[in-house]
Amino acid sequence: MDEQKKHTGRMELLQGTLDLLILQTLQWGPQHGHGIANAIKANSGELLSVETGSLYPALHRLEKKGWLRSEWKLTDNSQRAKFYKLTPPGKKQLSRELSKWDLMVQAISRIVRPAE
Amino acid sequence: MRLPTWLQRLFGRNRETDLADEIEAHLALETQQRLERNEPPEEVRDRALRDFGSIALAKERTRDTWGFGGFQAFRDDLRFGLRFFAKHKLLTCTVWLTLALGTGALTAAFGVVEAMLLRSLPYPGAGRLYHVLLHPEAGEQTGSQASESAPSAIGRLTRGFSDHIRNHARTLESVSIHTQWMGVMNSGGAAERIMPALVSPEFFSALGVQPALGRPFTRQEMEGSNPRVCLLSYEYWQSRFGGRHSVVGEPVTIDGEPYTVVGIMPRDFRVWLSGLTASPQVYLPVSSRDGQEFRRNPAEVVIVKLSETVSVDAATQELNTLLESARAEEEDLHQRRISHLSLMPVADEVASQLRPMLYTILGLCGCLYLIACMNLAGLMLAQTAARARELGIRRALGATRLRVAWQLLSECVLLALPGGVLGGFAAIAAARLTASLYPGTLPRADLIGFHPAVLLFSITATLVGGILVGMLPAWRFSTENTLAGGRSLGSGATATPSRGRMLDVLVCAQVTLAVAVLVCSALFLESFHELRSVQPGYQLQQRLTAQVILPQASYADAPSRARFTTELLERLRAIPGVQRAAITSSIPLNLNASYAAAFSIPGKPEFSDQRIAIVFVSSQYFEALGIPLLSGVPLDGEQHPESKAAIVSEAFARKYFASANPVGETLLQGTDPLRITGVVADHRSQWLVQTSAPEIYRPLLMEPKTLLDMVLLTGGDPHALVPSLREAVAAIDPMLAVGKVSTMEKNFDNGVAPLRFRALLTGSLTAIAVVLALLGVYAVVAWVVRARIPEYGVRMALGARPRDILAQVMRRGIRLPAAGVILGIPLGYVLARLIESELYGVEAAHLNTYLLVAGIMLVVIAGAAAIPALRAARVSPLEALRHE
Repeated sequence: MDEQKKHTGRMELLQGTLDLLILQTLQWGPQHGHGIANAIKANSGELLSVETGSLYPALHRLEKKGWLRSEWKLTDNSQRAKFYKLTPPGKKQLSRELSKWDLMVQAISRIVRPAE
Repeated sequence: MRLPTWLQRLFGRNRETDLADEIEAHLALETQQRLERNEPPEEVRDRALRDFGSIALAKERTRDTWGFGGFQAFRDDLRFGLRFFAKHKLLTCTVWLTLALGTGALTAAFGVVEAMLLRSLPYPGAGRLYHVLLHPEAGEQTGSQASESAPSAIGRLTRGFSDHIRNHARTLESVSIHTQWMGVMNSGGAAERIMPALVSPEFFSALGVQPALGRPFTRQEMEGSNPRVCLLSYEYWQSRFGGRHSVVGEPVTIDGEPYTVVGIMPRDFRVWLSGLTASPQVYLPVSSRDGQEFRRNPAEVVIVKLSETVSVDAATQELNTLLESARAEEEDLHQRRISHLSLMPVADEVASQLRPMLYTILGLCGCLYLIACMNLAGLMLAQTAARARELGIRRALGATRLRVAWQLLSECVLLALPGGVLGGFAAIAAARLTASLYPGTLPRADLIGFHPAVLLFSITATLVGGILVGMLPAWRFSTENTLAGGRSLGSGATATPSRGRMLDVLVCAQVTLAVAVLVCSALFLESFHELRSVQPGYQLQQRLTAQVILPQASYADAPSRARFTTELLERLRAIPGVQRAAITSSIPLNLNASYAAAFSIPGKPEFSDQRIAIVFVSSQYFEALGIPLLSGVPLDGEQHPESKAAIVSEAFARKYFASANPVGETLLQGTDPLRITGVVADHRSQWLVQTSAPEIYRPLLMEPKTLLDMVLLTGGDPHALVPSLREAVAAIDPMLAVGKVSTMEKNFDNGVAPLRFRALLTGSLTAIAVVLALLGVYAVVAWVVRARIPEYGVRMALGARPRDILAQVMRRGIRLPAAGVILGIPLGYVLARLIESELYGVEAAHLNTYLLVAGIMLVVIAGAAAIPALRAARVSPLEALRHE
C-alpha cells in the first residue's frame, strides 16, 4: 500500500499500454474522451492519470486503425460529446493486446522477482 | 446514415472543426464535473483548461495521427502559407512573371523543336520513307543541290539509274522521284509563275495521299504518248480556278502547253520533303520534262519506301548491289563518281540543316529557365526570413520537419502554376510569331502548336521549376532548429551565415550561366558581322536582277532560244538609264540549276575527267556585276561569238595552271577543244559561306537556256527600270512572265538574313538571361545590406568612414559573382565548341570575345552591387541603430 501511494501522480505510459487501457475501458460500452480519462483514473485506483495531450491522439489513431468508431451523441446531462465504441476488429485487438500484456508481465516478473 | 469519414470531409464537415468541437466538449464535461464537486464556479473553467494542458499541442499531435497523406491537413497548411503570398503581392507577381518567362521561353523552344525535328511526318508509313544519299568518290563533287552552310549529301540520281532501281529492287515497296520546277500558268487569268512539283506516280502511294477529287497519274500515262496530265493543289484550285468541280478533266495551259487536270490534292496537304517547296500549286509528271539530257543528268531526288519488315541494312545492301549492276550496264559518267549509297530517314533531312541552330536555341532557353529558377530560389530564400516566426512556432509545436518542408515546397509549386500556365500559352504564340519572322522558309513551321507533347513538357517544366525554386527554402527550414528560427525574427533578419552562403552560391551559379550564354551570343554576333562584311567579289549597288523562263514547247530548239536571248539583250540595252545589261544561266546567289561537265587538260594527265561548274553568260556579264577581268579579253559580243571561247575563274587558274597564265591554253570538254580567253576574279557564286571553286564561263548563245537571269546596271535607282524591263520581255513574247525581280543588294541581304535573324534571336535571349542574373546579384547584395544596416550604423558610430563601408560591401558583393564570371568563361568555351559549326569566320577560341564578355560582366556586376552599397555608405548611424 505504501509503495502504491508513493506512485500517485502522473506516470509515464508506454504508448502501447495507453492503447490497451483505452480498448479495455471501452469494453464496457461506448464512452467519450473525458469519460475514458475518468474511467482509467478511477479504475487504476487513482494511480494513473492520462494526459489529454496523449489521449486524443491515441483515440484518433485507434479510430484510424479501425478498432474504434466514433459518433456524436448526447450525454446523460444532455451535453454533446464524441463517443467512441469498440468495433469487432477492435475486440479482437483487445484480446491480442491482453495476451501480449500477460506475456510481458510474466517475462518481466521472472527477471525482477525471480523467487515469486 | 453514416457516411464514410472521407466523404463527410468532402461535404464540408471539417476534421479540424470536429477536433475543436471534441476538445471543447471535453472541457465542458470537465467543467461540469468540477462544478459538481463544488469547486468555485468562476475558477472551474480555468482549472479545466489547466488540467487539459496545451490544447494546441494536443491538436497538433492529433493532426499527426491523421497521417501525412491527409489531403485535409495538406490543404490547410497550404491555405495558411499562401496567406503570406497574398499579402506580399509584389513578390508573388515577380515570381509569376519570372517563371512565366523561364518556362515560356523553354516551352517555346521545345515547341519549335518538337514540330520541326521530333514529330514524325504526317504521312502513313512515314517511318519507312528514306532518302538515298550519295557518297562521292574522294575528291569529287556530286554537283548536288546545296544548302545554306554546306552541300547536303542528298544527291540526285539520273533517270536511268532510278528506273533501274525501281525495276530491280525487291526490298523496296516503292521508288519515287521528284524535283522542283518553275513554270508559268497561262489558264485561269494572267500569266502567273508557279512552282510545280515534278513527281513520279509512286509519289502519291509513297506518301499515302489520295487526291480529294479525281485520281493521281499512272505510270502508263507517264510513259505513254501523252504525259501531259496534272494535279492541282487544293488552295490553288480554290484561288485560281474558283473551286469549280468542272476543272477536273479540263485542259489547262502551262508553259504554253495543254495539260489535262486529272485530280485535286486534299486540303492542307503539305510536302515536307527535301527538294520541294512545301505547297506546290501544281503536280506534274516527271516525264513532262524529258529528253536525253535529262536522262543523263542527275536531276531528281529519290525517295524509297521500304517494304514492311525490311531492315535498313538489307535495303542499303541491295541498293549498292544495284549500283554495281548499273555501272556495268550503262555508260554513265555520273554513276562512276559515286562510291556507295546509303539511306537516311526522310524526317531527318527536313530541317536537318537547321538542327544545330534549333538545339542551340533550346539550350539557350534552358539556361534562361535555370537562371530564372535560381533567381527565384534566392528570392524565396531571402523571403523566408520574414516567415521565420510563423514557421519556427510550428516547429516548436512539434510539426515534423518533413511536414513543414513539404508545405513550403508545395507552396512554391502552387505559385509556379499560374506562371507556368501563362508562360506555356504565351510560349506557343511567341514561337509561331518568331517562326513567321524568319527570313526564308522554315520547314514544318506550320506544325508548331500546343500538341500533347508540348503540353506535357510545359507542365513538367512548371513543376520542376516550382520544385527547384522551393527546394532551398524547404531544405533550409527543415534543417534549421527552432531556436535559430525564433531568434531570427526580432533582430531585423540577421543573415544566418549558412543562408547567406547559399544565396552567394546561387548568385555565382547564375552569373556562370549568364556568362556562358553571353559568350555564345557574342560569337554569333561576331559571326554575323563577319558575314556581313564578306567581300562577295562583285558589286551590289544599282543592279537590278530578274528572271524569265522560256516554256519548253515554244522554245524547244536552240536557235529559237538564241534568237530570244539576242533580241532581249538588244531591248534591255536600249532601255534609257541602263549602262550594262547581261543575261546568264544563273546570277550569283540565285541558286538556279547548276551546270557542270567533265573536262580534261591536254598535257596534264593528272587533270583528266574533272567535273567543273559552268556558267553560261552573255557579253557584258562581268562588267554588269563589277567582276574584274584579270587578264585576257572579255567574251565577245553576240554578233561574232567565238564558239570555242571560255573564260575561267582565278581558282581554276590556280588549280590547273599553278602560277602560269592560262590565257591561250586549251581545255577539252569531252573531245571538244575550248580556248581560254580570259581570267576573272574569284567571287561567291553559289553561297556566301563557301569559298570559291573553279568555274568556267561560256558564251550563253552557244548553249542557250530556257531559264534566264537578267542583270542590269544603272546609274540611278534600279527599281525605276522594272516597268521597262517587263515591257521589253512582253514585246518579244507576251506569254512570258517575269519573276524574281530584285536587286543584287537585296539578294545579298537575303543570303545574310537568316544569320542576322539568328544573331538577333540569340542576342535577345541572352540579354534577358543577363538581366535576370544581374537582378539576382542586386537583390542579394541589397538583402545583405539591409540585414546589416544596424551593424554598419554601429561601425560608423565607432569611426568607420563611409568609404570603408562601401568598400566592404562591394568586396563582399562582388566576390562570388566575380568567381562566377571566371567559372563561366570555360563553360562558355565548352558551349562554343558545340556551336562551332554554326559560326562563320570566328573560331570558338576567339580570345577577344572572352575578354570582352568577362570585362562587360564584371563592370555590370560591380554596378549592380554598387547601388545598394552606396546606400549602405550613406546610412546615418543614428538611423541605423533605430532600424533595429
